[in-house]
Amino acid sequence: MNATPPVVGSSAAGVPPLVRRNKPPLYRLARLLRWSGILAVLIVVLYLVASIVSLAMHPPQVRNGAGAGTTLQTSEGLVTSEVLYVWNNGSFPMTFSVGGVLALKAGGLLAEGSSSSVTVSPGTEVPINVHVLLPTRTLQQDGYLLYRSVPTVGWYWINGSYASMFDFGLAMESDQNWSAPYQGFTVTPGTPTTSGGNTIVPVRVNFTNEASYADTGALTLSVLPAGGGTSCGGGSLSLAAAPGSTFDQTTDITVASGCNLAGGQVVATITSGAVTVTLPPEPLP
Amino acid sequence: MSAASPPAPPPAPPSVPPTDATAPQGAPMVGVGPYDLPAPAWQVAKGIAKAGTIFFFLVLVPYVFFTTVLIHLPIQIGLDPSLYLGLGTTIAVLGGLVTATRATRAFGLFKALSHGAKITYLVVLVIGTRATLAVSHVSAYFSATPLFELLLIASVFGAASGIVTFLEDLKHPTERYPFDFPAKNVMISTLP
Repeated sequence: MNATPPVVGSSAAGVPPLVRRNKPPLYRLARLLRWSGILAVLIVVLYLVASIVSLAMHPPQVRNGAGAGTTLQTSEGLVTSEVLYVWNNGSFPMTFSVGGVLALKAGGLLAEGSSSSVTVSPGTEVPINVHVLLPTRTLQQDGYLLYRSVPTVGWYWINGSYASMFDFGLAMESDQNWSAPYQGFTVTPGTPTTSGGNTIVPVRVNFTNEASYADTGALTLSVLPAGGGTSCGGGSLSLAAAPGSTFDQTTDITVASGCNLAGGQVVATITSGAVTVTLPPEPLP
Repeated sequence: MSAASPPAPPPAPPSVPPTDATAPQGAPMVGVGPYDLPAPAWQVAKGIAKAGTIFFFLVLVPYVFFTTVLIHLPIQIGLDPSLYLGLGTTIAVLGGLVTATRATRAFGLFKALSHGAKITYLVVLVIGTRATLAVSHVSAYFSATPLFELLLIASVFGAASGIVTFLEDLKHPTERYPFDFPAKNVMISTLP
C-alpha cells in the first residue's frame, strides 16, 4: 500500500506542498548526541584559541622577591629561601611549583626543597616560596663540608599548567660549588713557652668564610699529652666571620703544670649551629 | 545571435517510500515522506574526498613533520610515530566510509566505529604524548593531556550518536531519510 504523508498545503500555482511530520525519537536522540559532540568541540576550540591568544598578548611576569637567596642556619640545618613573584595579567589561571636539588659531584644528596603547587588566578600576583634545606644530619655526617668547599651539581625545575589545559615543565642542571663557611680551616699550634711558672701554647686559627651567610660558630681547643689521656688545658674562640672575610686569630692555651707536652697534640672542635665537628688532631711542635 | 538554450528538464519526482500501514489515519506519519537519495557514485566521491582530507591532515602532515623536521630536533614525542600514522589511516578510511554510506544502513555502524577510532587515538595521545626537549643542561616538556581529555567527550557523544543511528536503521531502515535527504520540491513542517 502506498500512501503519502499528510499534506497541509496545496501545490497549486507552483507552491510546493507542505508536508507535516514529526521527527522520530531515535532520530532526535541521534541528532541531539551529534550536536552535543559538535558543541563540545566548539567550546574546547574556542577556549583553546582564547587561552593561546591571552597567553600571547599577556605573558606572565616573574620577578625575584626581596631577600631571595638568603641562607639561615636553623636547628634543622641550612635553609636557603627563594621567593618568586608570578604576575598573571592574562585571562586564564596558571599553576606553578618550583624546586631544586643539590648533590655532591662525588655522589650523595646534599640539599633539596620545593614549593607547594601555587595557583595564580587572572589579574593577581602570587609569591612562590621555596625553601631548600641542607639537613643538620648531613652536615654532621659529612663534617668536612664545614671547612672544605667541594664541587656540586644542582638541578632546578619549574612545573606548571596553563588554563587547565596544558602542562609544562622546565628543568636545568648547573655545576656549582659548595662554599664552606670555614674554608681552609687550619689550627696551627705554636711552640710552648714558659712564663711565670705557666706553660702557654699559642694556637693560630685561620679560615675563610666562603658561605653566603655569616659565621657564628665557636671553637673549642684542647691540649692533650702524648698518647692522649686527660686534657692538659683548653680554650675556646668565637668564630665570627662575615661572608667572604678571612678569620685569622691566635689564642693562648694555658697548660696545667706537670703536663708532659712532648709528643702532645691539639684537638679542635667546631660547633656551628647544631653541628659539632671535631677536626683531626694537630701535633705540638 | 545564439539560439535560445533548451528549457531545463523538470526535477525528478521525489521518492515516496511505503508508509507504515498501522499508523492511524490523520495522525502525523512518523518517518514517512518523500526524500531524494543522493546518487551512490556521488556519495562515494564525497567519501573519498573526505578520507583524503583526513589522511592529509592526520597522516601525511604528521609523517612529513616527523621525518623532515622532528628528526633534526632534540625533541622526543614519547610514542612511536607509526602508532599515530596507523590510527590516522584508520580514522581516514572510516571517515570516508561514513560519508559514502550515509544513505545506507551501515552509516550508523561506520559512524560509531569512526568515533571509536578517534577515541582510541585520543586515549593514545592522553596516555603517552609528552613532547620533551633536551638541550645540554636544560630540558623541558609540554603536554596537552587535559585538552585531549576534553576532546574525548566530543568523540564519545559522536560514537553514541552513531550507535543510536545504527539502532534506528535496524528498526526503521528508511525512517531518517526524509530528514537527512528531504525532497527538494516539498516544504516540510516539523511543527506539531
